[in-house]
Amino acid sequence: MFLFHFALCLVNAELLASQHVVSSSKGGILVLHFQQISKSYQKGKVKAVDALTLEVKRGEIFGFLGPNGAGKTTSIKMVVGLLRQDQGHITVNGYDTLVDPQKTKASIGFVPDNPDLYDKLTGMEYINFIADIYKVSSATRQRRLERLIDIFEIAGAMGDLIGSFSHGMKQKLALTAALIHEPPLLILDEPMVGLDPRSAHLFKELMNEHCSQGRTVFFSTHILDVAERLCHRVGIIKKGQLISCGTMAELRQTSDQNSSLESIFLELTKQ
Amino acid sequence: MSTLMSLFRLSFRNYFGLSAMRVKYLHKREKLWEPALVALGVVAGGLSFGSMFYYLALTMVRGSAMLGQADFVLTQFILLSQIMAFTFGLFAMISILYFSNDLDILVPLPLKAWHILATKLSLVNIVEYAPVVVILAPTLLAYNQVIPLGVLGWFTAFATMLFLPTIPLALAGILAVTVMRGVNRRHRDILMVIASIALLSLILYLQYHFTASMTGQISAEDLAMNRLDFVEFVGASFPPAIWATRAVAQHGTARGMLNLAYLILSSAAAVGAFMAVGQRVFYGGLVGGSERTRRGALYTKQIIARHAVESTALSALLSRELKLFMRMPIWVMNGFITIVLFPLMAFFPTFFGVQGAGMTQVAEMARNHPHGLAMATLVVAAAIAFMTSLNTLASTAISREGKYLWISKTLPVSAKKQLTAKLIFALGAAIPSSIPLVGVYAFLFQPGAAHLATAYILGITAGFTPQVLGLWFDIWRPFLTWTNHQHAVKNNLNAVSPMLFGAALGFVSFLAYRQLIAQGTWTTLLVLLLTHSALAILATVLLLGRAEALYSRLEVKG
Repeated sequence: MFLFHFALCLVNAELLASQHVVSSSKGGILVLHFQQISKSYQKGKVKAVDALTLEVKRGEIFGFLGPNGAGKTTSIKMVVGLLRQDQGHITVNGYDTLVDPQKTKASIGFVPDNPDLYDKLTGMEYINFIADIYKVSSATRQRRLERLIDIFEIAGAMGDLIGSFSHGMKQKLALTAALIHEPPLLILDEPMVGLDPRSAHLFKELMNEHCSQGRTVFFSTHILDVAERLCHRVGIIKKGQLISCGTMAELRQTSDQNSSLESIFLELTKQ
Repeated sequence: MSTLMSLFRLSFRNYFGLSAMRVKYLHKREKLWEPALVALGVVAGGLSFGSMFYYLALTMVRGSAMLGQADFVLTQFILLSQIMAFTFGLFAMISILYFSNDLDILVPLPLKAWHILATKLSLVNIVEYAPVVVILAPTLLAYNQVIPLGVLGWFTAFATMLFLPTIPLALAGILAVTVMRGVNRRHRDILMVIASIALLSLILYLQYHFTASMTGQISAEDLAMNRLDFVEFVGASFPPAIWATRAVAQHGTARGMLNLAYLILSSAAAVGAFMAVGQRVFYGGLVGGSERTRRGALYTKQIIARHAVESTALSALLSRELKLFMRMPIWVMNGFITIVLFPLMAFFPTFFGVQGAGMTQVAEMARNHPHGLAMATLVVAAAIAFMTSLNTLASTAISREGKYLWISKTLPVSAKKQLTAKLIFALGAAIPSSIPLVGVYAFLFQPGAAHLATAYILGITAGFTPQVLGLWFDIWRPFLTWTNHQHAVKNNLNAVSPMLFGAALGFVSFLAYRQLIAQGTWTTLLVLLLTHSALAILATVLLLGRAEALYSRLEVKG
């Protein structure tokens, strides 16, 4: 046990050394920070995200919840560089996403809601491509790949073209690619969609393990049960604005003490 | 409405994106400058190519009219348009018949194979009207200058043009469904490309061989006595070209009408043959292509160790570009094939001895003329530059990413490096594919190493600048919303942007040549070489300097 904690401390120390350390307003080291983020579409007619401010701390699993069209995916896309915010700042590991896009991206492993991966590459070619880009050494990628292939049970598919994969297989491959460089911040948009129960279970364990090593998981989901059991904190977004954020206990203070996350969510997001 | 008409209407709207355009430009009224820009590009491109064909045809018509053989110019250009329809039609037919996304929807419907085949043939036929019009409209205008056509003549010419691409496309369709039924399923992508190139090479070779053997049969007496019918001679390898010529040239006569009837009936017969063959083999080839092959090899520790080998980010990006492009036959055929085909078209007549004496005489004249080799060097360089500007590797590099753009956008690699990989890939394709042209030049003209090197480097650098500008244009205005791989290249107007940039550069270079040649041939060549090299470097530096700003503008909304 002592050795385990000692190892964790070493990992944490290494992580701290490799990142800009920014403390959150309530203590803890900030990994992801939305500061007054706004984003509109159609020349300002549709406000997708409206002055969103949110802090995600190192080592936590953060669930990002909201009804369809609430702005979850738009917020995530701004973090990973797929969209540019109209106003505000997003920092990842202390780096501004617009000022230091490469440094922020190097800290992130990302899986979108619909993982469109190159149909004409094999699974192995895709993972090798991602590993090369993230500068993962041969020995390290071998070690990590052996483990991830084993966890996701995709050893028989790695040599096949991705075009022949089912949705669930693509999801597993995208997760493997996102984890191959062991990013300080794992961002997942609806990660459970398409995963079979066994893979979903293994994946949840993987998220826990990722956090236990001092890393962070930020994910959006509609599966409230998963969020309730897995997340250290959740944020609920509606019409682009954060309407609630905190631990389950903190959320329950706003409602009935015995309420489930589902009840709280329905209460908060009703029209 | 009949099933066929209903299917055609739907496919027509889908293929040309009419519904999407109506929503975007008429309902939402977004980016209205796009259709204006497209129209401008089409007009500029059509006028530049059209004027080239017009002056060429006018010279030929005036010359041949003196021998009473003006009609043969029509045959020449009709044949050219039909060869182009066949060449590009073969790849277009394979693409549309086997790689369109709508096939997943159409095949499960209770449609007969010929319904789909007829619809797809009609769509490609419509697309192929563009080169027919660009080639033949100026030719007819030139012909009309010497032999007025009149209203009936123009009407007949219009009716004839409607049927010109049909027979070549039906033949291309028959070849396409036969090749696709026969090729090995596992290596289908690469086999399809190889089979198509081999087939086209064979056809080109046979065409040259046929013409050459016919040339051998012409006697000086025939020429002197004007006993030879040039129309029959030129069109002998493909009689529909003769019928089309006679229909236009002899409009208003019974013979003209009869020839038009021949053309229409033979077109109908060719379409019927395509339907009959396709009805038998189309579904078989299509289903075979959609079957997923699983190698099934388990990635054990040893196999992972063998494959998980580190390389640099740039080589990873290059490798990705190469694999994704070469494994998509539609892209290879639409975007890359021209830079293989044109050298082949020059290569066959030269090295298989079917060229005839014409080029040898031109080479002899060039060697004896004070500026002859300089001109020949510039012509070869222009050919290389033109060929390079035809490839769409750079000008669709961002568009081709389509729904996969999210991957590139989330990579921790600078935009500069990503664009560098795309440019290296485009340049890497141009460099080897230009060698056959230089080989032809060396063989025919024996110009010496300095001229050869100048032609090659000047051609590559002059062709590279339009490639860089094409990539710039593509990153500025990418076509990312394609749902069909063919649309990413074939229906992407960004693909023609290097040709327009190249045409402008070529025009300026020609003016510069006329000003400079009095200063001496080597002065001219060196000035052009240095200028084009400087332009290529400048364009590259400017693009890479703006790379981050341009790349960050790209948003992945969908």
